[in-house]
Amino acid sequence: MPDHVKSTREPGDQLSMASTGQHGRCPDVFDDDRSARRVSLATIAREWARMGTFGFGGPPALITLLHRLCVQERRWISETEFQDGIAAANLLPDPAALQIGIYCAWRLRGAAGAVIAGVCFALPDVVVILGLSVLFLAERPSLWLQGAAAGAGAAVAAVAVDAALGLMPASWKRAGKSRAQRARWIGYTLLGGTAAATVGPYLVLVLLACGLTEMAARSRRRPTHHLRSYGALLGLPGLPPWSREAWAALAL
Amino acid sequence: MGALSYGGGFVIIPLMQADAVSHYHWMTSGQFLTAVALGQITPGPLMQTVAVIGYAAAGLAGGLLAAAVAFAPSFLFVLFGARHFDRLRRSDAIQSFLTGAGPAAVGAIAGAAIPLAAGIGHAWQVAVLAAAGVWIIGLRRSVVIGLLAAGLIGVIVALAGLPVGT
Repeated sequence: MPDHVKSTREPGDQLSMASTGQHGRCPDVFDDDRSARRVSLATIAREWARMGTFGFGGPPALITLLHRLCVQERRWISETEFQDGIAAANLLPDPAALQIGIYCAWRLRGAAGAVIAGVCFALPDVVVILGLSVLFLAERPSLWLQGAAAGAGAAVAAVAVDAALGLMPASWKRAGKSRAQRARWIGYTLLGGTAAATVGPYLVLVLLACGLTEMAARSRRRPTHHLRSYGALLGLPGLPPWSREAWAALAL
Repeated sequence: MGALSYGGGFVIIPLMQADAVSHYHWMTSGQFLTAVALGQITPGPLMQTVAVIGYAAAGLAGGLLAAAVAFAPSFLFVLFGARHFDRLRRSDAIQSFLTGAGPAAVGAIAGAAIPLAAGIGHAWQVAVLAAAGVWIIGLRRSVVIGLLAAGLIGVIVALAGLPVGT
């Protein structure tokens, strides 16, 4: 683990034992028997920027750094809260590591913490990759840069296969044990692979079709009933059902 | 792109490739492969490959805008949905949906390798791909080190006078 994440509590962090709920933020944040510490926004900015800058190794490495910082070392949030965040992020599109990073900061300092953490988490990477873009996508890059780009670019297909192989065991386990469930899993996988290789822009339709097919196979309820779950995710529980379903359809 | 990236950033590679290379012609196939490699080598999620594509389309402002738009769903999901994460986890409907969409996404990630491999333009790159396959898939070694080594081989090849252009 990098040393920068092992930093101990600092005087300027303004840690206090005040409950976040008393400040009108995330009333359910520290509803267990632990005392809440109020983490400063400056600390969130600094720590999340450090992870974003030095978190080499992809999402698993970033999630490990977040866990060590927030759960193991500073004890800002509980193991259960962190695992809930991982489970929910795995159900959502967009980068899971970024979502978990934003989620942890949201647990600590509400919306302000979430926005600051997200920006500090993502911005260093964006700056680095834009800097590299300037070099590699220049009109006339140097010969060695062209060679480096051609060499690294040649290997990315292997990375894609490796990423798929890494996800397969958990996906297979989730499918269920019956012959029909496993047959559907194989069918969905082949459909997704074929679509990615042939009809790139319409791949999302195949993903949606597979998801809806499985929903239909597992439930007799109407699809509109299922869409309400996505409406709830979007934070619109107070609105009438038809509007939540409209949001859900938009999200899908 | 961000709202569609179920199962990881590789799911949207075919979408990005179709738009950036085939439809809008913002970059060549070789440049797209470089963009994906940069997204892997740098810290952070593969989704930031969209910043490279945004840069190719409209310079630095385009790169920043593409990154902001791609990452926006993460902020929105947490800010407006985090209070409902527990309900989301317990929803049979969503679990069923993802049980179907999940393997399709896994298949799509594997299938993305085909258009990515098709973007290779030189014979020596095929050898690099084969070596990377052995290193990353066969030996289960580091992806980042594999890509950096592939880049180093490319530098040596370029300095040796073999073709590297796209």
